[in-house]
Amino acid sequence: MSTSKQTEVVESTLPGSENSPQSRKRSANIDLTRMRKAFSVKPLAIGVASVFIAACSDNRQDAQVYTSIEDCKQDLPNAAAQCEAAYQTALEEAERTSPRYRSEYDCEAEFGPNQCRNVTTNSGSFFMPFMAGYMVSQLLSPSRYYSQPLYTSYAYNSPYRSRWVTADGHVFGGDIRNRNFRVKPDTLKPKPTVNKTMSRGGFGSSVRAKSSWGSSSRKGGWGG
Amino acid sequence: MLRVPCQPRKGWQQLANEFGFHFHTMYGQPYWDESAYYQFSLSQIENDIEDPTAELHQMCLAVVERVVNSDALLTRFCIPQHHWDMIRDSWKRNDPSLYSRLDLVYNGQGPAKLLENNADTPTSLYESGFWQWLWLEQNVENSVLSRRADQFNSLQEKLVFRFKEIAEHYRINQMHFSCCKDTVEDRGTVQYLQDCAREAGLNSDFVFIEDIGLADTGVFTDLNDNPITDCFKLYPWEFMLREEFGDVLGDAGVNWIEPAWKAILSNKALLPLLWEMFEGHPNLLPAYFADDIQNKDISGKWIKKPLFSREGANISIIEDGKESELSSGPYGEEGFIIQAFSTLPVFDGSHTLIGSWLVDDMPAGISVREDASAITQDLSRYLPHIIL
Repeated sequence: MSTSKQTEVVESTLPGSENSPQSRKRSANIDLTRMRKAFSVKPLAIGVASVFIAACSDNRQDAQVYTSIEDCKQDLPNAAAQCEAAYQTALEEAERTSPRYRSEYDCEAEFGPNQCRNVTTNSGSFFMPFMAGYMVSQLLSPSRYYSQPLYTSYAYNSPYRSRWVTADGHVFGGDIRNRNFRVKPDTLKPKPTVNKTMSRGGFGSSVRAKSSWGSSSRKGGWGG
Repeated sequence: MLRVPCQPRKGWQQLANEFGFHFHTMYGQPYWDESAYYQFSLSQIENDIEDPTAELHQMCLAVVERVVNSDALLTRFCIPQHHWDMIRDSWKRNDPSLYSRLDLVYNGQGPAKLLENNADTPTSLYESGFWQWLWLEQNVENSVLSRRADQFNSLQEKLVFRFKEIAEHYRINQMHFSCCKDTVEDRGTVQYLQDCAREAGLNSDFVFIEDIGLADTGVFTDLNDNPITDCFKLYPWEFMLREEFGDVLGDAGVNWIEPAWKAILSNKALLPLLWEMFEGHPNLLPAYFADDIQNKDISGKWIKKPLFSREGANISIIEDGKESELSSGPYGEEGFIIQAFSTLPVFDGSHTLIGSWLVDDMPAGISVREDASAITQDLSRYLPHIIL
C-alpha cells in the first residue's frame, strides 16, 4: 500500500491514521508471550511445527538423470533443444555451486582419480569434480523446467561412490544405474553459491578509530 | 504538554529482565526513567507533531531527489565519487527504507522545529515501540492512569507491516541483522527489529559488523560462510562507504536496510539544503553551510555542527560572530554547517527533546528524552508519554 518514497511534497497528509479503523494512536496488538526473552518455550514449539509440516507435505515430482545431451535426446527425441538448454543450465550451475577443494588431492580423495578439474578465478585456484550427469524435471513444460548438475565418486571409501549426489551433498538412493526418481521440490531448487571467505574485518574500522575519543560519552554504539 | 510525576511500577526492573530490556541503566546512570511522564493533548500530537513529521519527511525526500541528480551537491555532501552510482541507483530503484527519527524542538505550542534527521541508524526504538507501550498498558490496567489515556506509538505494528512489505519487495524469507560489538544498546535495538521481522514471517540471522567477511565470489558472508544477501545494518553509511569493504559494496549485491540513498538524509548538509529549498517553512530552522555565510544574516545565536557527527561531538556555538567550542571530538574534517539556535524547553530543570518516528513515510510515534545539557544530549534519560 505505501510506496517506498514519494518525492512530491504533500501537505498535511496523515497516512495511516485517517484510514485506521480504530481511533487509538498506539499499537493494538502486541503478543507479550512472544516478546518475552526469559523462560521462553519457543524452541520446542518450532520443533513440533516443523515436524508437522514435514509430515504433511509430500508433493514429489518426477525427475530424470542424463549423463549427456545424446542420452537425453535418445529419451526425448522431440526435445533436442530442451536437452541442450538443460545441459547448459546444469553446467553453469556446476560452475557456481559445485563443491570446491583447495588441492587436487583433497578433491580426488572424495571423487576418485582424474575426476577433478582445476578452476582459476580472480581470487584463486580451486579443484572441482566433473559434472557426471544432470537431473531434469518438467523438461517438456514450456514455462519452467528444472536442471541441476549431479556428481558421483569413484573413490573406494567415499559415501558418494557409485551414487548420484547433488552440489550440496544430497545423496540419492540406489546406484548410478538409477535414472528415474520421484523427488521433493526442494531437491530441485538451485543450490547456494559456494563461498570461501577470504577476509574479515573490512567494516568497523571507523569505530576503532573514533571510539578512542570521549571517555565521558556513555554511548558506545553508532546509533543516534 | 505537561511533565507529570508518577510512581514507578513495582518490580519493573525484574520485568525488564524478563523481556530482555538490558540497557535501562547505562554507565551507572538511569536511562529509562518512569518517575514521571509527559502528557500531550491529541491536537498537540496530531497537528503539531504528526502532520509536520509527515511533511518534513516529504521535504527531505525532495532534497534527496535533488542531490542524487547533481554532481555538485553530491560533492557538497562529501559522498565519495566512486559511490555516486550506487546511491543514485538505490534511489532510482526505489529501494525500500524501514524507519527514521526526526529530532524536534517542541514545547507544547507553536510549530515544532526540526533539529536533525536520524535517517540511517536511529536507536531508542525498543523503548519507544515496546517498552513505553507496556508501561502504559500496565498503568491503565492498574488504574494508575485513565482508561482514556492513549499514546502516539504505533511503531511496532508499523514495523511488522513494513517488514512484510520489504519481504515481498525483495521476495525473501530471511534477512541478516548486524551492529557493532560491545554495545548492549545497539544489540538490543537490533534484537527488537529481529523480533519485529519474525512477526512478519522473516527468519533472521545475526552477524557483527566487524565479523562480516568477503568471499572469493565477491559476496559478503557471515561467520558460517553463508552469503549476506539482505541485511539490516545499524552502522552508518558514511563509515561503510569509506572503509576497506566499501570498495566492493557495489559488487556484493546486498539489499541493505537502510538503503544507500539514506547516506544523503543522515548527512547534516541536509539542513542547509532544506532551508534553501523551503526557506521560511514553520518547522525549519535557518541553516547554512559554514563556508557559505557571505550575505547571510547570522546575527544572534547559531550552532555549528560537523557534516558527520555522532553523540553531539565537535559542536560549537556562535554568538554574534564569536565562536566557542562546546564539545570536542574526532569529527569535522568533512566540513560544518550552522543552524539557528533553538533552545530546548525546560521541564523541572531538564531539557526536553522530542524524537518523532517514521516507518517508511508514515509517522509512527514519539519518544521523549531529557538531558541536563541544552545542546549535546550526552546523558539523556528516556521518559514515557501519554495522550489525554
